[in-house]
Amino acid sequence: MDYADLFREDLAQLDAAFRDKKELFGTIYRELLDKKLVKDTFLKAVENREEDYPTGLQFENLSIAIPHTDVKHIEDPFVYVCTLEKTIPFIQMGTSDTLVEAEVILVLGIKEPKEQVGMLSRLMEIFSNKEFIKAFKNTDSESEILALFKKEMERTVE
Amino acid sequence: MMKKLLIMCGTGVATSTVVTNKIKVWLKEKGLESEVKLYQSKIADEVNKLDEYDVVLSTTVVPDRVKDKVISGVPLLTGMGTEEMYDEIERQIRES
Repeated sequence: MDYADLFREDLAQLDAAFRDKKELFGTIYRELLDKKLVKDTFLKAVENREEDYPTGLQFENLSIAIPHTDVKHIEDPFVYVCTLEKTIPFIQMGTSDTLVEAEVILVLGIKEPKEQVGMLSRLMEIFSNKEFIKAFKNTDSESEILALFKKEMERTVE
Repeated sequence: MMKKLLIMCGTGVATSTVVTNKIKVWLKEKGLESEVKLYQSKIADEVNKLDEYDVVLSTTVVPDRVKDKVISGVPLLTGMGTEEMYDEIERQIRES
C-alpha cells in the first residue's frame, strides 16, 4: 500500500469555514458520498463515534482531530485533509472533558486496518515534527499541502 | 508466568495498533519482550474484564469505575508525556 495514494487533491480544503462540528461532518460527508468513498451510514457512524470516543489530539505545536469510524462504512480508503479558518473545539482523545481547539481535521477512511494503520503511525510522527508543522503552516494552496503530505508519506515503506 | 498487557481503543484497529507497535519496540529495548504478552482489542469488548490483565493501556476514555486500572496511551500518539507513561507501564509490569 502506498500511503501517498490516500491523499488526493480533490479531498483537501484549505481555510474552510464551518460553524461547528455538525456542519463540518455534514459537508465532508456529502463530498465523500458523491465520490463513492463512503456508504450512506458513514455520517451517523462518524458522529456517534466522535461522541463516544473523541479524536482531538493536542500536539506540541498544533491541535488536530482525526475522526474515523468502523471499516464497514467505508467503500474506498482515503484521508480527507481540511484546515480550518476558525478552530473548532473537539474533545481530547482519552478524556471526556478536555477541549482541544482543532486547527486541522484529518478524516481517516480506513478500510483495511492492516494496510492503513502504518499511515496513521506516520501521521502521528509528522505532526510531532516541528519542521513539518512549520512547512505545513506556510502552505497556501491545496496542491501544496497535498504535495507536502505525499512527500512525507513516501518516505516510509513499512 | 507472562504478564498480560492489554491495549485498547474505540474500534480496536486504528490508534490501538499504533500504540501496540510502539509498545512492542519499547518492550524489546527494555529486554521485557519475553515477559509480556500483548493483547489488542476494542474497549467495548474488554471493559468488564480488565482484571484479567496485569497492565491496561487505552487511547479512549474509560468509565470511572475502572479509571485507576488504566494508563492513557495517548502520549504515544502525540509524543507528549511519553516518559512518565513508560515509567508507569514499567512499574506496573514489574510489580504485578
